[in-house]
Amino acid sequence: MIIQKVELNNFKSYYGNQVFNFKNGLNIVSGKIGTGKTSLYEAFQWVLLDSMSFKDNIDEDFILNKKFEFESLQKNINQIESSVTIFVEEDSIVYRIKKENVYTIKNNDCQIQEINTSISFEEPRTGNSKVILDRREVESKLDELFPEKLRKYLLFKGETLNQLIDFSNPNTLEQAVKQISYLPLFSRMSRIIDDIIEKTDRKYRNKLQANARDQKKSQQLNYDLESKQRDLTAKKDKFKQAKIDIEKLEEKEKEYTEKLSFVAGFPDLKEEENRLEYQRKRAFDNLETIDKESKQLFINKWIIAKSHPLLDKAEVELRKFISWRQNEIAVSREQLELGVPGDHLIRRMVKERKCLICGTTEKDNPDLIKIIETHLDENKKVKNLLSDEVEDLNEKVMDIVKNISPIKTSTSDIKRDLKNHILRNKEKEGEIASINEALKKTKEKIEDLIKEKGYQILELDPKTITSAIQRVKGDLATKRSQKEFYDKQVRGLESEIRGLNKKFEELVGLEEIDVNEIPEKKSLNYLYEIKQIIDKKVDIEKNDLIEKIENEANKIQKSIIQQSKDNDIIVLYVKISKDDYSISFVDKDGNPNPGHGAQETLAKMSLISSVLKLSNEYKGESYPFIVDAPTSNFDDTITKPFIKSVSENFTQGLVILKDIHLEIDAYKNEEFTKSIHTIEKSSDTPGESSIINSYTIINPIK
Amino acid sequence: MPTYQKKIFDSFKSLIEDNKENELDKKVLNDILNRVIDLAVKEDRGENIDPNIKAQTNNIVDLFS
Repeated sequence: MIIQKVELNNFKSYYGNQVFNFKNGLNIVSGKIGTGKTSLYEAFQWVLLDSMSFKDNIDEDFILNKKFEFESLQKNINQIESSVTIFVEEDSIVYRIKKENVYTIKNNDCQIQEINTSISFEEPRTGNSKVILDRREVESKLDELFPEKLRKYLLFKGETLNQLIDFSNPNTLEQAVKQISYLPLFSRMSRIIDDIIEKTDRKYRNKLQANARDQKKSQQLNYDLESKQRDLTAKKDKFKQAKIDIEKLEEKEKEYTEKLSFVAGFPDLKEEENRLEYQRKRAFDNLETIDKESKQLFINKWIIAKSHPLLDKAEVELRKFISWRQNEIAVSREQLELGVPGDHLIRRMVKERKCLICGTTEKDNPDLIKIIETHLDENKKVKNLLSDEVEDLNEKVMDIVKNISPIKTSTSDIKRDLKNHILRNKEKEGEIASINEALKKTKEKIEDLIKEKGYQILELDPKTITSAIQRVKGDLATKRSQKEFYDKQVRGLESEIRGLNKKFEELVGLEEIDVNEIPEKKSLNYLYEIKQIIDKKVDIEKNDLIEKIENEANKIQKSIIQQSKDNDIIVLYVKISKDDYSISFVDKDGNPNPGHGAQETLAKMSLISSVLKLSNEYKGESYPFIVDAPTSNFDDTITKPFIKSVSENFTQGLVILKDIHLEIDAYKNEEFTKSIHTIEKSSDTPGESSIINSYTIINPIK
Repeated sequence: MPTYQKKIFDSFKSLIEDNKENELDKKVLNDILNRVIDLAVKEDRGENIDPNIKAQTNNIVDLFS
């Protein structure tokens, strides 16, 4: 099976419709932190795991691309979608597995309306397109394509590796071994044989009964035997079921208890994280308010700053006008309008005893002084008039100047406010930066804890875990007492049947007939033999498979270590218990060595590679291997040999890797890399990056 | 017999060979095994099993009548 491509439509950091095209062989997707690598992994997880009721859920609220959501809100669009489509090719049929969230927008709020998963393909026989929409059918088809028991090996995050290959929990490996082998089929064959034996045995007894001396008694005995046998089968089934239930519950209890002990120190960190997140939100809100106020102040300042020179100019012009008018008045004192003489002229006229306007002298007219006095009166009148005008003008100018001053004052106030705002803004930004720093540290601590144990953060609610443990404990107590009850009944029935059988054989008088000549007896002999052969086959198969897994895992490790040229790393030889599939690691001398860090990771990854490789060899089924950050524990000397080994062991590998841009050419030139995509974050506003303006860009490199 | 079933059947061959020298015994064991594999594969695939086939498989005794 091959994954041809993945289409991400407004999914998480992927804005619009973006496509990754993959090839047969090794495909690498690489990018820096926060560019959308995990979002790509989560796209697979969302479609292939979540739709199968897996617990490793992704928060649906964070599926929709925020930039798209923001734009849709701005444009008042009523309905939008976010989807992922995986194109899978299996036996020349291309299956399009699509999961989409449909959202409705009401009152500026975006809500999930429905979640749909569909699988479409062309029927090979008819060529007609077929679309599977029914949830159960979709799940069944998905299980066919990606078997549930293998899925966790096919699709996982590097950080969950410890959970996946857990030394203390053999069940995961046992499930995988059963999936890749014919062991479950052999068990089914064994059960079928048991059924046939039981039926044949009944016929055999009936034949014997026919020979019985006391027909009535033997009939009754046979009837009792059959009834007890039926009862025994039913009780055995119930006992078996109780045992299976107990195993499952014990496994759950163990898992929950481990989680609970893991989260013992975790709530504080989570609370701290929530508190910091809240503080950050508050600080951002404050910042936004300050920002809005600053904007208004800037606008005011701008208006005033622009009008300021105009006001200055107006004041200057007014003052100019006043001084011009005063000049005019001064001049008018020399030569007033309408022939009215000014003070100076009158003084000269009185001194010279001559009208300097009309040239009349005292000689010419003895009333000259009177005429001049008349002029003087007129002069006074005009002067009064002018004084009023000047005074009026002055008053107006004063008014204007008075109004200009407060405007100038308010400008400086605004400047001061603005300065304060900028300071407050800086303070808030500083506050946010320190909150971010604290948040980063807390998140890192949480991440470290998660990496250490491999649990998903969303699953870690101590209250839920505690109540789940209580529930499981209660169920376990019930099931254990049921099991004990059925066990006692089974033993009692078996003993009763043994007694009845003895009586029956005595009654039918076996010595009188040759039982080996009875066909049912012959059949029974063969059936018991076949039963033995099947049981033997199960043992051989199991041992053989375990040895193959061990050898293959060790071979893969050796090959990677040889290529890495790192002398500090040794092979951790994988040992799998043939009794219960528990895993341990030993050194070359057989001494236990659980390993640590990269070495342990490498050993576990080799184990996974080995299981999946054998699946391919065993049943001729091949699956793509999708893994996010498998090499986060590795240094560069092991990363490349490890990736190369993935290309050798899997028909198709989709490896999402840490940033390899420094070695991109080297990877590009490697023959084993069939496709390389790098991803990066881009923003609508260069230099600024926020959730609503940034998005992931895919660069196909090879 | 489909390839898949043949592969499983063949994987039992050596065990039967090792167990029996008598050709008739081998033939009978192979016959029973074949029927059981067929039934198990069908069950495993969730196929509807024809009651006649089931009865026939259960009625191994026919081989000796």
